[in-house]
Order: sequence, then structure tokens, then C-alpha cells
Amino acid sequence: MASQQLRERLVSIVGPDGLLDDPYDLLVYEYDASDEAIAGSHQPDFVVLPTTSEQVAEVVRIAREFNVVVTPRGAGTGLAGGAIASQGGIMVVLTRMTKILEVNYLDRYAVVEPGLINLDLSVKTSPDGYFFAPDPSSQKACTIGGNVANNSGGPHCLKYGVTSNHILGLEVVLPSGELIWVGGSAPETPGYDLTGVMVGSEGTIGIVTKAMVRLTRNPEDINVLMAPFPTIESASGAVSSIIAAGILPAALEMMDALTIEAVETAFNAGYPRDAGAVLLIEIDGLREAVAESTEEIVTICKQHDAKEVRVATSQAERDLFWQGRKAAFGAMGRLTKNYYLQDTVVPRTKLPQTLKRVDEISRDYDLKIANVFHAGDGNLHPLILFDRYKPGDLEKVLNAGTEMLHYCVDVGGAISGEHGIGLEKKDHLTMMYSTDDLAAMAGLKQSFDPTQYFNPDKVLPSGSGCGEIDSLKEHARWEKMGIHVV
Amino acid sequence: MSSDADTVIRTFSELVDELPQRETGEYLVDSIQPGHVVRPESVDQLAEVIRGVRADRLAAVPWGGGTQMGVGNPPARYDVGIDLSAINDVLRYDADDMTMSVQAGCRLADLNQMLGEHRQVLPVDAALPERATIGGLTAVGSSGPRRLGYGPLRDLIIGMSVMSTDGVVTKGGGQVVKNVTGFDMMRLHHGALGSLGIIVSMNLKIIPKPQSERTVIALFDSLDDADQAAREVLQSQLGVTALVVTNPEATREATDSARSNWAISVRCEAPPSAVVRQAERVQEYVASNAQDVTTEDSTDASQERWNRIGKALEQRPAQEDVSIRLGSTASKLRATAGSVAHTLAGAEDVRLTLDYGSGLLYTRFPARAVNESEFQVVFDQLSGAGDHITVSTAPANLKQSIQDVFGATPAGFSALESLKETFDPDRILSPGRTIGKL
Ligand SMILES: Cc1cc2nc3c(=O)[nH]c(=O)nc-3n(C[C@H](O)[C@H](O)[C@H](O)COP(=O)(O)OP(=O)(O)OC[C@H]3O[C@@H](n4cnc5c(N)ncnc54)[C@H](O)[C@@H]3O)c2cc1C
Ligand SMILES: Cc1cc2nc3c(=O)[nH]c(=O)nc-3n(C[C@H](O)[C@H](O)[C@H](O)COP(=O)(O)OP(=O)(O)OC[C@H]3O[C@@H](n4cnc5c(N)ncnc54)[C@H](O)[C@@H]3O)c2cc1C
Repeated sequence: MASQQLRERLVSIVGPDGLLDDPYDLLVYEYDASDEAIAGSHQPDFVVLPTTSEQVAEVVRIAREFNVVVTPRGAGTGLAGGAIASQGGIMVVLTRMTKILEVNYLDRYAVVEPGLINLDLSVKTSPDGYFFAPDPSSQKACTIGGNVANNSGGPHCLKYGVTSNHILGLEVVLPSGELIWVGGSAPETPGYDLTGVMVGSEGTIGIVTKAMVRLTRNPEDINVLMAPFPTIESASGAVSSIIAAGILPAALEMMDALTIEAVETAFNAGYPRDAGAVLLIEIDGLREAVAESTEEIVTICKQHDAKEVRVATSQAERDLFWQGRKAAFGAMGRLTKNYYLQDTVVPRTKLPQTLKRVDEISRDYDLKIANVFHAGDGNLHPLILFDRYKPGDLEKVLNAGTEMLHYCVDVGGAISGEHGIGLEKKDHLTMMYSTDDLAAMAGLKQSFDPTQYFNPDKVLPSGSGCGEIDSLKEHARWEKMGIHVV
Repeated sequence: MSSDADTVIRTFSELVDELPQRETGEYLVDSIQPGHVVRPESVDQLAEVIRGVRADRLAAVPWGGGTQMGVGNPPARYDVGIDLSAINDVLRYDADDMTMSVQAGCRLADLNQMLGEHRQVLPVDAALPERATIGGLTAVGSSGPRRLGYGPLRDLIIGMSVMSTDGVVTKGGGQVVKNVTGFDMMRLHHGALGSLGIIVSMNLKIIPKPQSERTVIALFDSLDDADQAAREVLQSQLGVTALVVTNPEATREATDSARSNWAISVRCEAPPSAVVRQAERVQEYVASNAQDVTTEDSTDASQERWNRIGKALEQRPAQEDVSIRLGSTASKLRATAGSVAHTLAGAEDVRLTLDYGSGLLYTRFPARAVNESEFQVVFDQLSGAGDHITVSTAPANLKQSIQDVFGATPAGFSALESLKETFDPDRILSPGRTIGKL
């Protein structure tokens, strides 16, 4: 039968130990780090674990030939269901491709395989004075391929920019089965910016098999500040003032009282338990500039009623301050059985009012909500605490989450700042984009993947498939004439 | 947009008499004169123009400030020029959020004047900021030397509205500095030379204006010495924001220097307390083999220096000069420059600007140095010297004598072809201009 033939062909490429199809082995691949009750779960028919780019390309060509769908996957830490094989088929897991192939400090780049764990790159280069700037809190587990696919962010993206700004070139397998390099160490390769388009496309238009990433020189000086505030409003007021004062910290992170409680219970990071919110601020750059900005920030924090501002005096203290932040999601286990992590973003001046709204939603729905987030970017992460087995909780959580999205869009924000759209939010895209906008996005997808077999069902709303572009445009025209299509 | 405009599509010939028109002789592209040049005064009017052009199966070329119209293959067809300079409103400026939304026809110098009043800046360079429009900058997608410090314009674009070939505005991204909602449509249009849609407006991230700046200039007898100095500064932790090396001919133009030297120019931007030490340290790094080291030690003088360096790169009339840009990297630039100099050994007055911070080499030489039968050979040799090549200006006859001003067709070209087919199926936007003559 076809699936036996397919199996044999795949084994001939990746070897018997590079293929999994025992339902028991497939279990871990049926979901990612998103809540399966929200984003869903589904088993792939086969998991393949290639070790070379050519193997990935071969697998894709076989998938094409057998007309089965392909879902790329890194470490599975994604929070939007992007790596779920929603239609079964072949899952291409890149975690056996972990080599650092080249490091070039003068030209400031490294070439790595997609399964390399994010932190492993900086661990390798930092003794030489360079680092890979995108630092998602999951950086001890997530892969660089996953970072590229999701255009991931992290605390230091405030100053250094998100993943997209750090990808110089990619080797990718396209849905056509071609294995090509796009971009490269020299900037501005003529032609359309396929590197830029690939980043953030969530594995729907190509599988990354190598990434040429930018390395950033370590700054001359770094200060980490921790400032407790009486309320979340006063802390968010300080954030707005810091940005408006023209200071660009390397990172500017906020944690609210509930988060502080969880973190302190779990690790003792040194955040005052009686604070309403804590700001964690990192400033880096030239020595004098760091000193000057530190002073300014201390003043601004005090103006906004910070009880104190502690400046870490040793690497150990810096690490401790950061550990609390980076492990905050994990620490939530101390407070709740389940949590739903929402990811939204608003213009930074809208933070105070947005946090107020989140608080109201918490009260309206009678759900505890913890806030730990990238304040400098306006990128919120409300964590809605709940119990999956308590009847009615899940519906409440979903409704509360959607209400937040609506609010954020209303004040000029977006429905995902860094975790991606995946399966989870694709039907919310209409909050931000018109049918015409979505038709253009569907056109991009179609240009690469006319048969829609790469990571199906992700990013674009149901019903905006390729065959439907014309009908989308048609609908858009009707809508403009006041005719609503259901 | 009225529903009438959606249902009743008028052809370009039916429309044209009602549209604001311009003198066609001023809108030549590679010596081709269009039948009409229109200057729409609103987005709705632009939509009508596009629909009309499509209905008549004409070919249109968008114009911003017209400073970089030399970039691209000669158009396969060119019936209508669309001057976008009247679509130039600042739609919003949220100083405290450090974002703004501007229409494509806004000029870079005007925007920076407005931002300067709030001590903010859009840190992109253009040879002629008084003319260059933000839409044109984006469509060309080539960043200047300050890319080293602030990244390319591409990374400052957080949202975009584009007029499709259906005459419909579609948007991507948003108004926030971090956003992964949907595909990155901004990067699709950045650098696409307007061949997939006309950029109508864009949302930009802006930054606090550096409080002060200095520029260190050192003169050297050889490229080797300048290269050594450049490498040391680049690998330091001084965080300089631009670093270029110029050959003696380019140095003379940028500095009025009577002397004939290679030069390195290093831009330092920081608070006053830091910038002095920054410049001093840079001086120490570059001093060892230098003939002379000077520092522009006021912000104004430093800015003026960079205007001059930019002007030295400015495109001259295509009849007079050939400008070519090569992709390279800091570690390869010396070798790239060596090969370029070797290839152009017969020509006089060859200017070279090596943008070490970006990894780009610009060369300009008088067009009379080559003829049509030689140009393909020169071009091939130059393209072998770098990772990629672009002819930014050349007389039309020289451009026509080579296969493609962007060099070899890239791997995965079929993906580019299908993008063009999807977004511009009737080939109405700058047909033939972009890579592979798409
Ligand atoms: C505790 C925790 C903290 C987190 N913190 C952050 C944070 O601070 N910032 C942030 O942005 N995210 C964060 N995340 C989300 C997640 O870690 C990132 O999205 C990460 O980049 C995903 O990498 P991954 O290797 O796990 O990818 P996966 O989850 O395996 O896949 C993610 C997506 O990428 C695609 N994909 C994976 N590899 C490839 C490839 N080689 N080629 C093409 N497509 C591919 C998949 O199809 C899927 O759509 C966090 C997650 C957790 C669990
Ligand atoms: C020293 C130097 C530094 C430079 N630094 C930078 C830099 O930092 N950043 C940067 O981006 N560029 C930089 N450039 C490139 C250059 O200055 C700009 O690209 C140029 O000014 C374009 O503006 P324009 O309005 O004159 O465009 P035009 O010459 O009018 O148009 C250029 C191209 O864009 C198309 N076009 C124009 N407007 C639109 C539109 N609205 N929609 C679609 N297509 C359109 C045109 O058809 C044409 O192909 C630099 C150049 C030099 C020499």
C-alpha cells in the first residue's frame, strides 16, 4: 500500500533510525508548547529526523510525489501550534542538525544548522566577545530554525531587534523541492528579499536547513537595574517615560505582583515580595553612556514612585535578576495547574491603559492573570491562570483572551508580538486585516506553495486558501458595496 | 473609496485628461520617454490611474524623487510615469511611541526636520535627502554607511500599505515596533523596485537622535594600511556608526584634500560625555600607519563631512558616468577593491568607496572609459570580484549591451517569477526592470 511504499522511500533517505511511525513514539510530536486544548493536537503519520540539507530536500521531493503534507518542527517550544501536524503527513524534525558550520568575527556572522539550540551559539561565541542577539526566554531549548520561522523576540530585542534583523541568509528547501541559498554575508542581494519573506513565515513556504546569522559585538559596559514599584500603573508610567526620554535600554522587562510571588517562591531572585510590580532594566553600550543613562533611569523610576532602584554590582547578581525573569513562565507552576499565555502588543504609550483593561478582564471573568512581559516594546504576555478540568474555565479563558486581543487592536496594537499565529490565532487575523490584505498574504503563500502542502492550516484564516484568492478579492469588492458575505 | 470606482473601471485613455500631468521629457528612464506622466494627488486618484493603466494593458514606472532611476534594467515597456511626490502626507507621528506613518512621497530631509524638533531621527542615509522620498528609498532598498550603527531601512519598517495592480490598497504589519501577525509583506516590497505594487505609505520605527557626533578621518598611503585600520576599529567595542574607506580620487572629492591618499572616515555618535573618548580611541586605533589623522570635532562639521561622502556617491547623469555597486564583506573588501582596480586599470578617475560597515563597494568611472563591445567583459570581471553586482547608473546603450544589470539570475528564480506573476500578472509595473528582467 502507498503508505508502506512511502515509508520505505523515507527510510531509504534518513535510515531506519531517522524515522518514527510507532504511535507511541509519535505521541510527543502531536503537540507543541501551546495549550492543546486551545491550539489543538494531531499526530503526524511519520516523523523523519534528517541529518543533512540534502536529506531534507529528498524528503520534500518524496512528499510531493506522494502528495502528502509536510510540517517542519524544531524543538516544539512554539506557543501557537505552529509545529502541529494538523493534517498528519510527514513531520520533518530538524533537531539532529545542530552543527555550527562557520564563525567569522570580522564579518560578524555564523552559519549554523537549524536544529542548533539558540543559547548554544552565544555560549560558543561569547568568550570571543560576540553574541547572537535574539534571546527568547526559551533559549535553552528552542532552535534557531524555530526562531527564524517564528521571527522570535526576546528581552534584548528592544535594542537589538527581532530575529529578522539578525538573519543574513538562509539555505532553504522550497515547496518546489529546490534546495537554495537566499541572501548571504554581503547585504542587499539583488532581487526580491526572500530571506526577509522567509523569516516569520512559520514553515509555510520553506524549510530552513542552514542559517547565516549576524553576530553582535559584546558591549563595552552593561548595567542591570531592578526597580520595585508600588503598582503596575506606576511601573508602566516609568516605562513610557524612559522611552519618551530618548533612552534606548538593551532590555526593559516588567513583572507584576503575581509573577513576583511565583518567581520568589520558586527561586528567590531577590524581587521584593511586597512590590506591585518590578522593572528589570538592562543598559549597555559605551561606558559613559551607560553611566549617564543609569542615572537618568534611576531618576525617572523614583519620579514614578519606585521604592528603590538596585543596580547589580556583580555578574552573579545580574544573572540572578535575569534568572527570575527568564524562568517566570516555569515558575507559574507554583500558582496554577494550567495557564494560557496570551501574546499581544500595543504602542508603548498605551501600556498603562492596556494593563488596566487586563486587570478589568481578570475581574470580569474571575480569572487570575499574571503579567510578565517585554514592556519596552509594548509586548504584553498576560498569563491567564486556570484549571483545565474545571467545567467552564476553558471557555472563560478563551473569551478573556479574545477580549484582550480586541482591545489591543483597538488601541493600535497587534495580535501577536513574537509567538506567532500558527493554528491558534489564524482566525483572529481578520481583527487586523481586511479581506484584501489577506488576499495579498495568501498570494505570497501561493507563489511558493500552490498546492498548500507546507505546514497546512497555519497563519492564514480558514477559507483563505490559495484557490480562494479570487473569491477573497470578490468578497472584498462586495463588502465595499455594503454586501456582507457569510 | 466609492463603490462606483470599484465597479466602473475607466481606461487610462478615458481618464488621462482629468489628471494632473507633468512634462514627459523630465521622466526619461534609460533614455525612454513615456507617453504620459501623471502626478496623482490622492490615493484614490492613484487607484484610478492603476486601474486605467491595467485596463489598457499599459506599462507604468513609479517615480519618487527620481534620484535612483538609474537602478534597474531598461524597462521592457514604459508608457506612463507615475510621479508619487504629491502623495506626501505625514499620517501620524507618535513622538512618545517613537513611530510614525508617512506617505510614500514624503522626502527624507523633511521627515528628519520634523523629527529633529523632537530630538528624534530616521537614521537612514541618502545621497540627496532633499529629493529622495521614503517610497523610493524603500523600493530601491539600498542602505548607506550608517547601516553599521542603526541597521538598514528594512529593519525600521513596521508596516506598509501598497497599491496592488487591481488598484486596491493592501496593508501588512502595523503600528507597533514588534509584530509577527501574518506574513512580512513589508520585506516583500522593500527592494522590489516597485515591481510588485506601488508603496502608498509606511509605518516606521524612529530612534532618539544621537546627542553629538564626531568623525575621525585618517589618510594612508595604501589600501592595505587603510584596511588594517578599518578591521581594528570594526572589531573594537567602540560601537561606531559608519566606517568607509575611499581611494585617492574619491577622497579628493569628499574632502577637498589636495593630497592623494586613501582615507578612512569613521563616524562616532553618542552622548557628549562618551563621544570624545570614542573619537580619541578611534584615533588611536587608526594612527599607527596613518599619514595624517584629523577629527571633525563638532556635530555640524561631522554631519557635513558625511553629506560630502554621500554626495561623492551621488549618481551623475548617466551619459557621463557608470556607477556600479558590489556586495562583499569587511574581510573581503580589500581583495574586491584590488580586482576592481585591476579590471578598470585603463580608465582614469575611477572612484572607489568601500563601505566596511555594510560590506559594499561603490565604484564610479567615466562612461567614455568603456564601449558597448567591452562592457559585458568588464561587467563579468567586476561581478566575479564581489558576491553580487548592481549597475546603478550607466548610459542606456551600455546597459543594453549586458545581459542583466543585476548579474547572474539567482538560485530559486522560479519563486521570484511566481511572485511577479501573482502580484503583477499583466506586467504593468516597471516590466523588465528588476532582476532577471522580470
Ligand atoms: C517557556 C517558554 C518561553 C518562551 N519565550 C519566548 C520569548 O521570549 N520570545 C519568543 O519569541 N518566543 C518565546 N517562546 C516561544 C518559542 O520558544 C519560540 O517561538 C521558538 O522560536 C520556537 O522554536 P522551536 O525550535 O521550539 O520551534 P517549534 O515550536 O518546533 O516550531 C515553531 C514553528 O517554526 C516552524 N519551524 C521550526 N523549525 C523550522 C525550520 N527549520 N524551517 C522552517 N520552519 C521551521 C514550525 O513549523 C513551527 O511553525 C517561548 C516558549 C516557551 C515554552
Ligand atoms: C551614499 C548613499 C547612501 C545611501 N543611503 C541609503 C540609505 O541609508 N537607505 C536607503 O534606503 N537608501 C540609501 N541610498 C540609496 C538612495 O539614496 C535612495 O534609494 C534614493 O534616494 C531613492 O529615492 P527617490 O525618491 O529618489 O527614488 P526614485 O529614484 O524616484 O525611485 C527609485 C526606484 O523606486 C521606484 N519607486 C519610487 N517610489 C516608489 C513607490 N512609492 N512605490 C514603489 N516604487 C517606487 C522607482 O520606480 C524606482 O525604480 C543611498 C545612496 C547613496 C549613494
